[in-house]
Amino acid sequence: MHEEHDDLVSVLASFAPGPRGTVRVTPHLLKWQGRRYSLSTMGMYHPEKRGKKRLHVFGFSSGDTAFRLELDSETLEWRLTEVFYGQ
Amino acid sequence: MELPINREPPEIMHIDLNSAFAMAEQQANPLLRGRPVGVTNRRNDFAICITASYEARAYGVGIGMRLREARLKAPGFVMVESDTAKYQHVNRLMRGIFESYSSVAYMKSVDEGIIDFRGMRRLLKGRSLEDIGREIKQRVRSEVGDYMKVNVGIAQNRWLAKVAAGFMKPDGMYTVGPDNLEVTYGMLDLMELPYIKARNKLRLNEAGIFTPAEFFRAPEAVLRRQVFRGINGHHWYLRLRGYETEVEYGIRTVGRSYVLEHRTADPEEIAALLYKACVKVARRLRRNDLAARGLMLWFTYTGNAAVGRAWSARKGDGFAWRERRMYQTAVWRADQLYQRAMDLFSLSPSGQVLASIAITSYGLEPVRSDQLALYESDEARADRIERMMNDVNDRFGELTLLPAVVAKSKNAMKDKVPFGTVRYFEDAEED
Repeated sequence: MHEEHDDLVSVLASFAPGPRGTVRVTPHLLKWQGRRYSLSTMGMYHPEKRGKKRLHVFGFSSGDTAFRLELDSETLEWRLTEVFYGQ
Repeated sequence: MELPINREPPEIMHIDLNSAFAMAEQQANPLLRGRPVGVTNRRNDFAICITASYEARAYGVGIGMRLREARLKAPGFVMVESDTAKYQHVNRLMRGIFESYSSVAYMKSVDEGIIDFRGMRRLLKGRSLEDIGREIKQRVRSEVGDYMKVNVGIAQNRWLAKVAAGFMKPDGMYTVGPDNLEVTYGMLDLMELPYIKARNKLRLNEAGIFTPAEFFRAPEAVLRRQVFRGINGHHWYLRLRGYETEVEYGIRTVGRSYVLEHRTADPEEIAALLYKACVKVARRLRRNDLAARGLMLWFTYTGNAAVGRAWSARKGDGFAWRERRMYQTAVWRADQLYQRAMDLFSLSPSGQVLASIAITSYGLEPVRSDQLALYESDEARADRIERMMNDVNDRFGELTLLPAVVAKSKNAMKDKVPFGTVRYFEDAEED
């Protein structure tokens, strides 16, 4: 089952040097609706532009739930925009 | 006299990311991996599959299939809405990998890349192309995503390389060279050859050609005069023997297509939507210093009525209408395109509920700049206003600043994922 959201969330993430001068950002822990979800499988990162605004989009799963998170590079806010329940 | 097989070594590599969008979705959402997945442009009751994962295809789910039917065929089927930013990112990463191997490397379509290694032997330092193919597969997994699989085909021309890439799907690699060319044809059906669909197959059958091996052995005169009735037959004769026949052309059309968030029959709202589409087309024309003489509208409607000329029935619900016209002068601004689009729109059937629109400009030619004038002409002023609007929209997002004519429209338009072109992605990168 798939749900769309637009919720500000707390995220614990690591920022580490990646290949060819890039920075590899990995969200490890997500707090949403009073629950904590730890990353079990990283899916994919991709950037997205909305006007001049640049968003960093992350897809990952935690157990049988998958999430889409957006990091706003201007405000540094994390937003949860999609949830997918695997069962 | 019969032309011999091209004896040059196979040095064209075709890399094929099959089910590209579905695979990108499975990469992004680990819970979709191993499951039958389809991608649609709009997730609703009418959703149509624009691509399906390997798992879904194994159940018989294909392009154009409706959600309801796909669910019946494939237990656990999941339909995902297309995400152009994601596919654009995959496309860019793939292109980056390909371009690191040769100066002649490019994306041929959204899910296919070509690397031309001709003349590159010294730079390869003795490595075989199969070795490089394996490295590319590994790099795609590590740089694009661990679930991403590509098929690699190596041959003497681009068409044969595509044949080779399709030979061992998924995640395969195959080389076609002068020595195994005929053997390879012997293991394929006609319809497995790229560009041979039902119509071409029928033409070949009518000439007594039922297999790729027979196709290969057919005399040039038969293909040219009897089967394809023209130069196309000569091209087939060459490409089947490993000679290059594909020529790269520049931009021939600029267009945009959209599915409507809320279907509508309101002519004012449709006019506003057309203006929005014209803005997008105009921006791309401007980026390439092009102007267009021709314009085509293509609409799809819900319902089953099919009246008037230029109507054609579509598969399933709804129907399509199109109209095109070539004008004497070339234009490039949104307001100019809009005027022409409205001309065509006036010919469309009224009272029908619109589901999607496509606008395509063609007959492209380079923009001729205005002659120098002491006072700014109306044309130059309109041009300047559009440039300024583009600057504002570049900064704050597409369609932030719009003419009043569009203000009525609250209808959100979602970009459709196109087939067979990478221009959309290149365009989006510049946005």
